[in-house]
Amino acid sequence: MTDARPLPTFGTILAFACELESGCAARFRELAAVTGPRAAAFARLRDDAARRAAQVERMRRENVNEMILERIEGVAGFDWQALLSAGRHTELEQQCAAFYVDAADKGASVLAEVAGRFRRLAQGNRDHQIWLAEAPAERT
Amino acid sequence: MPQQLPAPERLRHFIDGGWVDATATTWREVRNPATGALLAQVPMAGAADVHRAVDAAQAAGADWRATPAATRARCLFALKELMERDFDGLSATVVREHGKTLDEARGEVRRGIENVELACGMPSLLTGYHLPDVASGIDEWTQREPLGVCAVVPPYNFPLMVPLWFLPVATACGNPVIIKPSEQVPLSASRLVGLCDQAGFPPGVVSLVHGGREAVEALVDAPEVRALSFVGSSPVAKALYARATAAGKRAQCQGGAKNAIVVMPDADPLRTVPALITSFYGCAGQRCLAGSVLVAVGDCDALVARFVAAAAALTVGDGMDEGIQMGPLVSTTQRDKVAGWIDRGVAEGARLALDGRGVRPAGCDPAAFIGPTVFDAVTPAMAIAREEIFGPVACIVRVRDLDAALDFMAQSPFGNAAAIFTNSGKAAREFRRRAGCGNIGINIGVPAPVACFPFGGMRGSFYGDLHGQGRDGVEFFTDRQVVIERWP
Repeated sequence: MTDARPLPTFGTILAFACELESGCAARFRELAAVTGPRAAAFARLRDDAARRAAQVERMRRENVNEMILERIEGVAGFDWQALLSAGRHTELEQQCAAFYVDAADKGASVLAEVAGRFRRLAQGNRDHQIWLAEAPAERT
Repeated sequence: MPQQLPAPERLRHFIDGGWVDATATTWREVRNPATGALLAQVPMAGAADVHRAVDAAQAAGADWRATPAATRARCLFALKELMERDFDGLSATVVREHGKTLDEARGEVRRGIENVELACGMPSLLTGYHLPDVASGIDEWTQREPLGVCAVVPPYNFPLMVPLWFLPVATACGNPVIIKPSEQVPLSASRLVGLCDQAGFPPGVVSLVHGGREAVEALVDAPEVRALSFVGSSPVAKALYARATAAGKRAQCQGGAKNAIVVMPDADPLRTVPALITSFYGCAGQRCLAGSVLVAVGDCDALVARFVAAAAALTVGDGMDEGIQMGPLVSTTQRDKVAGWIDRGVAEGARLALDGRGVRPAGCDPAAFIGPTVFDAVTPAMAIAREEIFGPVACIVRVRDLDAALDFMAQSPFGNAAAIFTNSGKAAREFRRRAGCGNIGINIGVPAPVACFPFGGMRGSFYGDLHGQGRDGVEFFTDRQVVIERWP
């Protein structure tokens, strides 16, 4: 799914985050394998994406209980696959950060344990933007 | 013509460390309530199969009680790891046989794992206490001894979690356990017992026998069975408690519920209504902690309107679809029973503000579905205000103040759970002192105790002294000895 679908529950938010992080990990793995000036940056992103994917999967399994099945209003996914396949990585990281901050804010009462971790993931996305900015440009 | 499906699995008992064929001649179908698909056939065991399991458990008991507590706990550590690895499979099994949503099933599996984690620490929980020189040259201490074979009879609404309220603590305390899962939802417990087998429990320590009433009565009547843990309806809980205790057994029998959720005028509606929705409609209302009566205090028109709108907006369907917020009832029989309660509420004169009877989720067999339903203007005299419905039906009783709310609650024969939503500490304190229920929520709609606390229950909702989970579990599954010692 790549549309801006609403994510009204803990499960849908975490499922989206799992898709997003594992999708990024797979793509960065491919990009890091290609020799080029940005390979080192992509290797760094690959490693971090794999760590983040495991972290989000763990949240999905460990942080759900009867008390946090309440509806969450106003959180939506975004078309991360289009950004990823178009190589618009900085924009992807910006939208990822915005997604995690939005989910943390809107689900704070329901996702109390997860909200803090989402904010750290958003900070990670901002770090990724710096890594990308510091990487040498692709030769044309 | 529907496509040809593989023959459904014919379930087997797990006895003496292996899967064995039932001698039963009666079988019952297990169906996915969301789709109507036939999942399995479950044998309805008679006394002969039960006695095989009891004999194997009894034979395993002596070695298991002599096994060091830390060694026993290692089986629980292994079980936790296996459950973590099978987390998605366990969750999906719960959804398929029960109908609840994936989120709800994941929450159930997680709660189950938490009980296994608690039991991993059993060596510490089993320690006694010691006082030297209680008299000159005499020492005295306490120690815990396992009871013997324990029977676990869980309900259909939490097919994985409720067995895990008891199995981990009972086995870690040194007792062999026999589970008789609900014949409506036997797959999750079967899967769990398969994991127990992989975890290294010796043959006979964990057993499973399928069946219904005959199997339960055979278990309760077996002289070797020393304790019964039951969760189900109140009439059955009361009858089994009487039967077990009359035979000198220890019993903890949890019954039904009619949980009131009191909403004070000062409660924040933005936070309260989502919590109410979860409480009333989570697991399609088939939870012993589900809200059943919304006791609205004072001027509550805006709250009621917001609640009805939120209930109407819930997405109902097959719980396997991520994002579905409410699944079907467990069976068409339960669906018809709940529909009968809705008919009765209408006949009693309650105002049907939202009628879920016509819901037909896309891609599902509608036979077991009832959508969120709300009755307003319910009076305390109506049967729908007093009796357990066990479905997605909210009954709104309007009262003038907290005293009137508590007076209404005091009339209930049940005492399982109650909750209040308020910004007033004074109101909350008054509520928790007078609610007369075993699990109290303050701005929490589903007051579910975590594994290290006992799962409460009072009045007609619980028969026994010691509850499931927490230290109560350790107390229940052990006898305490006092040793007084003098050496010449």
